[in-house]
Amino acid sequence: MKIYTKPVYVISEAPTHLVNITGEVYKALRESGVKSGLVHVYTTHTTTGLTINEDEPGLEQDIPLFLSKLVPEEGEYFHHHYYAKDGRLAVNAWAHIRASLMGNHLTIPVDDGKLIMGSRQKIYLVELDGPQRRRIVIQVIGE
Amino acid sequence: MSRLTPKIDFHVHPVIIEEALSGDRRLEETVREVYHIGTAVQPLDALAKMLRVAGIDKAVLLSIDTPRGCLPPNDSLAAIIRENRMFIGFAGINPTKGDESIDELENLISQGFRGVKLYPPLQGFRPGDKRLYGFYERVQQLNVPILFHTGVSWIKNVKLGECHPLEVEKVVTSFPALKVVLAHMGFPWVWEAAMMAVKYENVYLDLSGVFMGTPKEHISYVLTKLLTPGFVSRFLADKILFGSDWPRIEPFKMVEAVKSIPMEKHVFDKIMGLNAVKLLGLGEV
Repeated sequence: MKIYTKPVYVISEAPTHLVNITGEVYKALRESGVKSGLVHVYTTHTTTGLTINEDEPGLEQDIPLFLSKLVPEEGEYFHHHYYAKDGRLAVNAWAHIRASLMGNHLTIPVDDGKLIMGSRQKIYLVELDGPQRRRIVIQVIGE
Repeated sequence: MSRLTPKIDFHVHPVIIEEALSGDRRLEETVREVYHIGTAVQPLDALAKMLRVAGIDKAVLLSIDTPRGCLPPNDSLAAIIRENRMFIGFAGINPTKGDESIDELENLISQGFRGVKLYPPLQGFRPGDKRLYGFYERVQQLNVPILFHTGVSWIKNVKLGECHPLEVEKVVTSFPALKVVLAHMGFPWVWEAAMMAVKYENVYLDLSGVFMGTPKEHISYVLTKLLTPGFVSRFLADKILFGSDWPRIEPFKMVEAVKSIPMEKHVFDKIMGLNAVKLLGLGEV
């Protein structure tokens, strides 16, 4: 069994931003040479999420907008205090909570060297406290 | 928008910028040890995006000559400001070295730096020390501002009592033409800092940093509770400079915080950029 691991860096463009990373995942799959197995996509951050959804511009706005209504910035959060580990005040509990709701990893099956995905499905990094450079790890496991 | 009302972030520490660290992992470790910053290193492009998202046209990047060296090094900061019109550099200099400090100042200003950042309690001197007067005299002649750290410091070995804005008063009265910026509105000694800015013609305040809550909570507390909107409008409209204090807080969040305060448009425009344009003698932004 082969395991191919590739970190990918993206710079998000806005405070909330759905970044389509499907091309990067396909690229890693091709580089791996794996024909049958799984692709695991993982974000190494606590204020980003990963999701698979349709690449429709309206949805790319609706998803972060819905999250912001569900977890508003204004509110009493225990996280908002001086955080010595970061040498600053923590002010983004809402971003962490939204990220938890999104989840931080995805698994996609691979067959015949291709991702098994519906025609509407695309893979997104969901930036929730940007813009920032973000690291995603793509791991391809199989034969 | 930006052409009509320039927005300038007067307080950015490029200490976790990849280009400023030149890929030096030991330098990054030193930055983390001195400033206790845990957030990830970012490329300059990501900082530029953060500023653009906030609607900011230019940012003042600060170096500090700490006991562990200049963080970030003036050389790498000089390269950044040379290649990027978005950034203005304030040099990190230790002013206690007499003529050597003055030579360094002249050299760095000739390289394009537009001001000096001093952090007296971190750098091991008191602002009013007469041994520094030669340095102040030359800065005054060069007509560039000094941004003094005042107010809360998160740096562990810095004593809060030495961060009081009135520590700078002797400098201001001895060098009345010297342009001085008191960082962080001197928080929590905001009234002391504010009255310095009211009383002394060339004293300014920067709004950077959050110390008692989220950016909206902090800015609202400082500008509408500690001070009052009327006082800010009538006494300090020409004296406050917007600043974020990145990477301790993101510029976008600070801009949103200032926007959330009821404020006349001309006051907002001055705070967000026009005061900085005037202070730095910038032409078209």
